[in-house]
Amino acid sequence: MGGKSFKDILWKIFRFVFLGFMALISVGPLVWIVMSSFKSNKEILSSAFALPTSLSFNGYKAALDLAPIFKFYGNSVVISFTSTLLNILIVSMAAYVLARYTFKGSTFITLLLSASLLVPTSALLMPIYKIMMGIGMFDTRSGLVLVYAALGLPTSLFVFKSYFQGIPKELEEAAYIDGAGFYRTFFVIVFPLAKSGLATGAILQFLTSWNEFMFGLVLTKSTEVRTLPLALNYFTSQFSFNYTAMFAALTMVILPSIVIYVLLQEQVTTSMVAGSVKG
Amino acid sequence: MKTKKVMATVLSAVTALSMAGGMATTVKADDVTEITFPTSWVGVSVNTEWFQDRLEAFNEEYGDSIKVNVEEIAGDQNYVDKLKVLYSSNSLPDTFSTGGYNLIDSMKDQLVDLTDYVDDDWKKLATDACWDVNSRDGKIYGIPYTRQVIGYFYNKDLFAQAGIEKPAKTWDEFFEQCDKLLDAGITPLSMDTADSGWVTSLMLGAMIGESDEGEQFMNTMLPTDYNTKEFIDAATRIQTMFQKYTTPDAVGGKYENAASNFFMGQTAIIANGPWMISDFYDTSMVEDGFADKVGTAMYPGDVMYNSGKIGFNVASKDEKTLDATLTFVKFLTNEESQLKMLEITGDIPAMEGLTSDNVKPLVNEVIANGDKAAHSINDFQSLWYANVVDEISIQYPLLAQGEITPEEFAQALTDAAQKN
Amino acid sequence: MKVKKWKLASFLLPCLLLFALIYLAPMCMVFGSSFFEWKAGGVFKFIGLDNYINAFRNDARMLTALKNTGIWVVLQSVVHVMLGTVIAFMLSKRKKGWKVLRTIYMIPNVVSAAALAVIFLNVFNAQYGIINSFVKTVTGKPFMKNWFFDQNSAFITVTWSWLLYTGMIIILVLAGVLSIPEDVVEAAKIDGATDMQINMKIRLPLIRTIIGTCEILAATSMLREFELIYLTTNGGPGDTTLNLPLYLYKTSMTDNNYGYANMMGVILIIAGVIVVSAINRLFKMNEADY
Repeated sequence: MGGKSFKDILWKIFRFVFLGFMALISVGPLVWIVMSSFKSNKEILSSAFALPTSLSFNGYKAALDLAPIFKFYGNSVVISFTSTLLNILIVSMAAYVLARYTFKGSTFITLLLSASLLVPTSALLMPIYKIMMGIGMFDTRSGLVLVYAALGLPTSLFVFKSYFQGIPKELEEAAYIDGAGFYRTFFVIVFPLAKSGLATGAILQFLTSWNEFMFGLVLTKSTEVRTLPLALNYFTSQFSFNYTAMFAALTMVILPSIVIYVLLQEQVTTSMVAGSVKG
Repeated sequence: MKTKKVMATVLSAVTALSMAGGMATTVKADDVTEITFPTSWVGVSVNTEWFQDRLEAFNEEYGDSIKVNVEEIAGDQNYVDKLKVLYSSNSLPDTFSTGGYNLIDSMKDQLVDLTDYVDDDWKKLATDACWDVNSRDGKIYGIPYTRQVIGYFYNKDLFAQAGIEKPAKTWDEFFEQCDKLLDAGITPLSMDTADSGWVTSLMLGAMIGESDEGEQFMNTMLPTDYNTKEFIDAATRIQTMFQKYTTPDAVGGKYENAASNFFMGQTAIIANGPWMISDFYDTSMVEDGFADKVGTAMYPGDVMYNSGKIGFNVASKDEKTLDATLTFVKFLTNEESQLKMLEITGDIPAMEGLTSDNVKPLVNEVIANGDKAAHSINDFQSLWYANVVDEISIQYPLLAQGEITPEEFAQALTDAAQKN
Repeated sequence: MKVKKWKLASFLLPCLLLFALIYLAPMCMVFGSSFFEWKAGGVFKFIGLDNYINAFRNDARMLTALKNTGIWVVLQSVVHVMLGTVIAFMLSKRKKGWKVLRTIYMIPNVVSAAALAVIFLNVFNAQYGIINSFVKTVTGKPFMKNWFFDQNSAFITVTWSWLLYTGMIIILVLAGVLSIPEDVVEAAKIDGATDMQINMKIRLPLIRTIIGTCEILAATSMLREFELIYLTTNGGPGDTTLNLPLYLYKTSMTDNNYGYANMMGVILIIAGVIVVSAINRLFKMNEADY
């Protein structure tokens, strides 16, 4: 018995150190960014890991002066939210059909859709630019919403599909017996049950849209529709830089996405607890 | 419940924001010609203030007939990347300026041949060297507005501490001075390898350009053979510099790291152009009074980068927009604009003899050095293939660590150049 | 239960349309142009399979890029997914602080690649980086390893920048484990199974499809990984950290050799289809759990 508890203690220590180390390397970057936003350029470049000598908000002021951050902020929020909603709605419908029904070509459709996981962004740029020009969605928020919803398509598809597969079929069959139709069953019975999976997909989709840079650059041209990641480049150019402002802007970009993540995550947990009671 | 409240607040904020965004409408008159001009002169870019000033002046004068749609693209690399996407789908903007990065050779099939539009009066606004850099086979593809005049800066205090009186006249003397600095506990050189290894490559080019053959090599458009004696000798000395005379963060370092080491007085020498001078006065970067400690120098053998620089390229698709575009470009490159450029950024005008009392003395010293130089060379970024410039940056670390010889370094660049 | 075909189709259609617009049409362009010599300056000529033949016969850099991509795919789908799963199982005990940890582990996924690159360059900086300072303090000797740009350490340093950041795997697996019905586990406990046995024999098989999903996402992310390498080592020193997506980017954006670049795009898609099919088979992704 004594040996076992010794092993238990060792295991506990190991787990503590392991989880602690992982936490440290995960939270480190964030702390460093926030810390750097209060330092001067001199301090950042000469002693990157020293604490700031004074708590100055000059970086934030400079960031707002140098780049149209607020305008970009609004766009990022609108575009990320809309593309997340769009993505969840249409991908979950497809994922449901592919998870539940086998028909001629269903495997092919799954494979085809998953091919979108594999296309390198740099190869997509030029064709998508041409397509967006062609259908008149160049330089619009809707164009970006469409592209971002598509960028998250494969990830959402896999996530949703695996969660739908985990939901017992009996519940749906019971619904059918009660006389509910196909659409009703999906939206009223299945959708709520898969909430934790849907929220997980939503988090990933939101982060994809929030941080995407290259399409945001290529598919827009006016400041009116541009997104936040583009603002970060206002602070470094070939021969000049303002690191303080850059880190201040980064802090302003990152913190809201963490808040949104925590909110959505809360949703996942609540629904899971509810789910396990039912199950 | 709490979550819902937060979401509701966020959503109403979103609605308010998007409505505010939609309110900006533009009034358009019939006889206004619209032209497009994407620019990276935004944010911290050296040229931001100058461009704002010039755009305002232009709108005041021509606002009734020409509307310039400015697309802000922050970051030089993003700017070039976007232009390449536009090029590959045949939709280049009316005009653009990359600030030295050579896009003429890869895009000239879509650029307007400007030879017929540039008359003798216009030609006077820039030196012949400037027009040469912007021409291919006698056809003009770009309108210059600045010249490239680059030597190196040194820290007078640190030189004095090491007992050095004035900048070296030969490379042997230069390396002796480096040894003296080392003996005095000072790291001699700021160097970098990231991006194009700008600071380092300036040194490399200056060493190549010391001899007549080398000078010729440095003035060759798109060289494809780097296996020359001058190049390999210079690469050998660069290897020594990496191994003995620079900071540990030089390998892999960016321009920012190299600049910062010089700003903090941790290195004594940095190669760079006059646009850097305004930073010597910026107290968020340097100690107060730093600018007084800085001296300017020609490279040993009286070598200076003294050349034209690629200017505005034009890609308008019809006569009407072309006219408007040329009016715009002419305005941004006229005498007044060039003078303002000198005063605001310290960049040297394309036109000969344009001076102002309103510039920092160090800028004038650089110009004077340029006029005295025995060997005038071009910078690598505007003359070499883009993939060679990229290759340099990933081969420098190997050269620095002795993983490859200078000969292999030359061969790697030759291989890259011949891919084009 | 029999559902009318058109109803199923109506569910699939929006997704397929979006796919066709954003992926299928571009993929066709990529595929088609991979058989052309297509360069800047208006060169556009059909050359059949020459791009493919050149890539495997004469392009040493291409083979290095392929090799590196392969190593990273394997590392990511084995080490990365395993690590994330282990952490998720630890958190699933809901010991004090598990929610906070779950959020913390996700932070690196929230921060954009551009910011992460700046951070890593500083952490591994030879002169003032945190790693070297730490080694110096512990050993008392000056330590100047240039992690990212020394040929011997560059690969492992770049790998570090994503291998240990398993936030996405954690939330996927955790959501799966937590939604396993309590009674299944309870029954096993009554039978006297140890915690380890329950994890290995009951929980893990039950979330098989989710682990499979993680495998697919992890493996394919390495077939697209680009930004972090580009912004730190840019493939260097030499070709040490060059992978196929980065080589594709350079070929297209720096060499302006679009046909050759698109050939690499096709190779990447083929490699991806192989990887995804293999994982699908291995994890029996098309069979339902219940």
